[in-house]
Amino acid sequence: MLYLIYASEEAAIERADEEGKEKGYSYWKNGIGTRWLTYPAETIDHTWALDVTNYDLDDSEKSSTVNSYAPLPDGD
Amino acid sequence: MHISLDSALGRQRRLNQVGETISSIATPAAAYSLRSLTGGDPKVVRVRRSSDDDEQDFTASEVASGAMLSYVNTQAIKPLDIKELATGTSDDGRNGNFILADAAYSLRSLGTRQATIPNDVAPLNADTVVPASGKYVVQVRRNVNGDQKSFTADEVSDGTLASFVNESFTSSLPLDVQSSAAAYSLRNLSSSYSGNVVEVRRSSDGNAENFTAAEVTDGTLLSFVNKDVITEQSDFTSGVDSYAKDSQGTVSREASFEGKSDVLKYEFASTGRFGFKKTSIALDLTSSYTISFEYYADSEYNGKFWGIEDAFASRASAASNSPTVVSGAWTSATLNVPSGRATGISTLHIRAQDAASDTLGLTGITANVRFKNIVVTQLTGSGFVKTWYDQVGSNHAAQTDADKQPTIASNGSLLADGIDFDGTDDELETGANISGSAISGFVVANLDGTAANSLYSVGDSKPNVLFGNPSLAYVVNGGVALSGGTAPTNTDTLFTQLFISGGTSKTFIDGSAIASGDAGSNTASSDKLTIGNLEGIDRFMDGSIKEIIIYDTDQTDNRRALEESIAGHYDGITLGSFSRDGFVRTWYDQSVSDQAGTARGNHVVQTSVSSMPKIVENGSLLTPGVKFEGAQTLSASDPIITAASSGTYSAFSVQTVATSEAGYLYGNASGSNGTSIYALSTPTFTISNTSATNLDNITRSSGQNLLSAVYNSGDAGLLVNGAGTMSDSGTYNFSAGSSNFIIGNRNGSSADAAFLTGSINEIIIYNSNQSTNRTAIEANMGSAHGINLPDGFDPTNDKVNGLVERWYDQSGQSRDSIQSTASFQPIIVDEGVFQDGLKFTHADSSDTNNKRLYVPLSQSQLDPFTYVFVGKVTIANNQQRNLLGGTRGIQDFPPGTAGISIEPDAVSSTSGTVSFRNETSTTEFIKSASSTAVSTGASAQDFLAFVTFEDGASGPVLELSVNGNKQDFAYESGLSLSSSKDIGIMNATKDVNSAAQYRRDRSPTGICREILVYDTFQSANRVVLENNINNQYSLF
Repeated sequence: MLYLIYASEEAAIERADEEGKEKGYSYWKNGIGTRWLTYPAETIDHTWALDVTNYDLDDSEKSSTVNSYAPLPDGD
Repeated sequence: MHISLDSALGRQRRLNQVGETISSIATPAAAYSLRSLTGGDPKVVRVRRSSDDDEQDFTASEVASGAMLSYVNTQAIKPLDIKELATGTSDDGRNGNFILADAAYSLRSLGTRQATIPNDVAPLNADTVVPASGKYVVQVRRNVNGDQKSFTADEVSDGTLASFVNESFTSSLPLDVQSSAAAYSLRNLSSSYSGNVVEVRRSSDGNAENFTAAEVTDGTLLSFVNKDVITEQSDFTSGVDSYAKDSQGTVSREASFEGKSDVLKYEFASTGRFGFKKTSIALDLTSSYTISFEYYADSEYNGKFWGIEDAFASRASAASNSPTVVSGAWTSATLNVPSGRATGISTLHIRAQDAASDTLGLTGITANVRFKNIVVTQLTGSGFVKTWYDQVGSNHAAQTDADKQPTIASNGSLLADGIDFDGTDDELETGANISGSAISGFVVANLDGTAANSLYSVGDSKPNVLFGNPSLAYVVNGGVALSGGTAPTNTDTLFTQLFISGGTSKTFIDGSAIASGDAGSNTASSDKLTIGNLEGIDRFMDGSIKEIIIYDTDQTDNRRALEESIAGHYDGITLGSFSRDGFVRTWYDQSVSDQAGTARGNHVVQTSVSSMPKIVENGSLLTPGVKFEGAQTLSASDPIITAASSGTYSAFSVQTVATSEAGYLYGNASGSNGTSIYALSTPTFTISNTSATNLDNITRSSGQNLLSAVYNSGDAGLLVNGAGTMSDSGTYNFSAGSSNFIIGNRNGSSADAAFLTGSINEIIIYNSNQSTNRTAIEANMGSAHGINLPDGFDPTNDKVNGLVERWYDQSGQSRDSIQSTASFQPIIVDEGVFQDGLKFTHADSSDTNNKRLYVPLSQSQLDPFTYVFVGKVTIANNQQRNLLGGTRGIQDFPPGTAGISIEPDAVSSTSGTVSFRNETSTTEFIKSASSTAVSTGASAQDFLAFVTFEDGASGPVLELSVNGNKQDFAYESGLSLSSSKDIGIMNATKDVNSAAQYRRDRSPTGICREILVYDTFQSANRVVLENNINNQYSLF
């Protein structure tokens, strides 16, 4: 898996929006339906990880991807 | 293919159209199922198919009928996007390189890898307005004005192409449509023209002024024509000022009389008739006047009347009033002469009459009358065209001889019919020559009669344009008279003449063709334009002209647009019908030559207008595709097919060809080499061996056919609509084609049996053997064009996933369960197989992309509450897992959540325990387990879990029922039901943010068939609800 880490959820969603448009999802064509391919998850340090494994990344993004992230902790 | 999946699954119909429905038993707060819970046929689910991410809503009946499954399994991968089968893979196998076509023509896009057409080279740069480079599929020429424009597939389907062909020019200005050599009108003929349109001489005093189009219409011109002008004012200071007796009497000057000096004396001596005149003063019949004077009449005239006419005219006075003569004192009189007099005096004549209505001057009186200050004032007048300004250049049409100037205003009014030519001598002539081997004229005229006179002529002899009597109706003559039709009279008429020297000339009246043929040759090298006459033989026009536009070029292409731009301005002109057609100039090649997507550019083109096939006919897009009508072709500049008889190529096409038709579809065959696809009237399709069409063939049917052809080393493999049996015949021995690829014929033939009559939607050519890919290609083509292919066609591609974007709420509360993130969407069709429910997988070990849906309700809204879950759980791992509710099942619980959970009894267990669970704090929970076990794991069966709770009068009570086995639970204190977190369906998350802190090991895998949520205590309805559900799913 490849992830891009964003400082805020809004920034991550903005990138997810961009990909959704690129893929031609129904939300962007018809105003209803699928909007994103993936959705960001909060990390342990309160940044946001977006799974971009199947995204069309530019060179800058490719160099910024990480293979994993630490999710928010929970109990057991 | 999937006509009745229910039958196949052995299920009853899902529609609960008989008996109680879920919604009629009690109103849920939210209700989800793939069956109807309402008794109607509601939308139940919105599905995204993974092949192309298209989405569609489906009703319960559409899910049941298999329509949803067919939608998902439709081969959405378009031909140019299909990949090679990769060996050694276990999936659908299409993981290799993209298959490269060698030519691909369609009106739809054949894939995301459709070639981009560059705009700096042909053919795209032949567009009338060259657009940006883009993914165009066709270049169309419209017949209304010959413009050419290229269109994308979307523009073909969304009506843009048809709108282009159907564009109306009724609101356009003619010179904006096409500038001309010369143009004359009383309106502005282009949006850029605002100069003078006409110079007018007024009749009253001969003064002339220029006027713009606005001044023609706003009354300025008419005010100029009708300005009061004193045309006569005599004070007789030095003589009689040219006054004279009319017939009898004597006119003389007296120095003074009865207090007034310088008077005109008229002595009448009984015989003859009273009257005097000044003939140099005009009283134009079309103008109005006042005539005033002072007079002193002897007593004999007392009680007589003044009139304006000749003494012996035998006509009543031209004046509208007849002042009574007063004698013995200087008295003023004013006579009013109106315009529009048909006959009568046209110069100044004054007489005295016995009676007001007399037609002669009086007689029998011997007495005198003195006159002083005779004044004639012209009140209204006429206007004559001195110059009709050219709106293109400075080649104005003028007439300096006043008598020959046509009339623009008369009787005080503008002439409604335009500029009137009197049929006697009126004409206008340009200063410069208009010459050309082609002369196109557009004239709006209103003819007074059918005499054979000239609208206009270029030069004194020929060519000229005439209109004539019924036997010589309407002629264009450049040495040979081309005539026909009947020229209308007394109505605005648009005359169009297209004179082609030595060619085919044409005439039209109001847009309808009148005559076509040889009108001679224009041998004159240079000639002036004469409007209203043919000078050489003086054929003066009797009628009016409103507009005349002359081109020194052939305007055949623009004719209709120009006619519309003219007729649109003149209400009286209704153009004849016109079939708005669009013709294919270029069918763009969509194929690319490499994996990077470099355009091949094997476009097929037709530059001859008469040989272009049609795509829009009479304003409508031709849905069967590009229409060939027995004389049209499109050609590439390359043979495209490289194979000789020992080689291979593949061709796929969709066409509609009548079974009685014989003609070439496409290929590079000539009489000596190459090969083409040919339709025989037997009726079959065959692959030709050069021009021999008697070899391998397959029967075709009427209507639209999908033909796939794989030619391989002497053997033609043909299928029609994915089926059929080949008939092998003869031996192929053709050399590789050396002529260009051609559609609609073969190379080098003009035979009827070679030209195609039929329509083609799509052609894809491969210089390779596509046997292993043909079903994938055919499946998409069949789907795109609505062609039924055999059941199970292309099974290698029936491995598409259908994902649920929206599970529609049937409660009437508008609480659809929506999942906008593709990776979270549960599965309704798994690799081509309908799941009869929503499948939740939790296979992503990163916990990032697993399936999840939510009921948009929180526990804080549900006290009391009822939850119903129908489905099965396939995981067999003994962890507490949330089936329906806000619970998470692992510490750091979301406090105040409740719901139905399940826990397999042990690792790899085939059974599990269903519980009601209330997570009261981040570390505490209440759990009430059912004693009725359910199956779990790979062989799990569907079950029904029902829980209803209320904090009733006797304390908190809860009923938990699994597969109809109810257990009661009571609690010492109320539950904690404060959470504002959405209710999860087969997933466990923590936060209000429904995606946050998802926990895979607390999220059950399996299939959910139905979810009911009530905000009421449903103990009383439990049994009937369970029975309804069990009747549907046969659970227990």
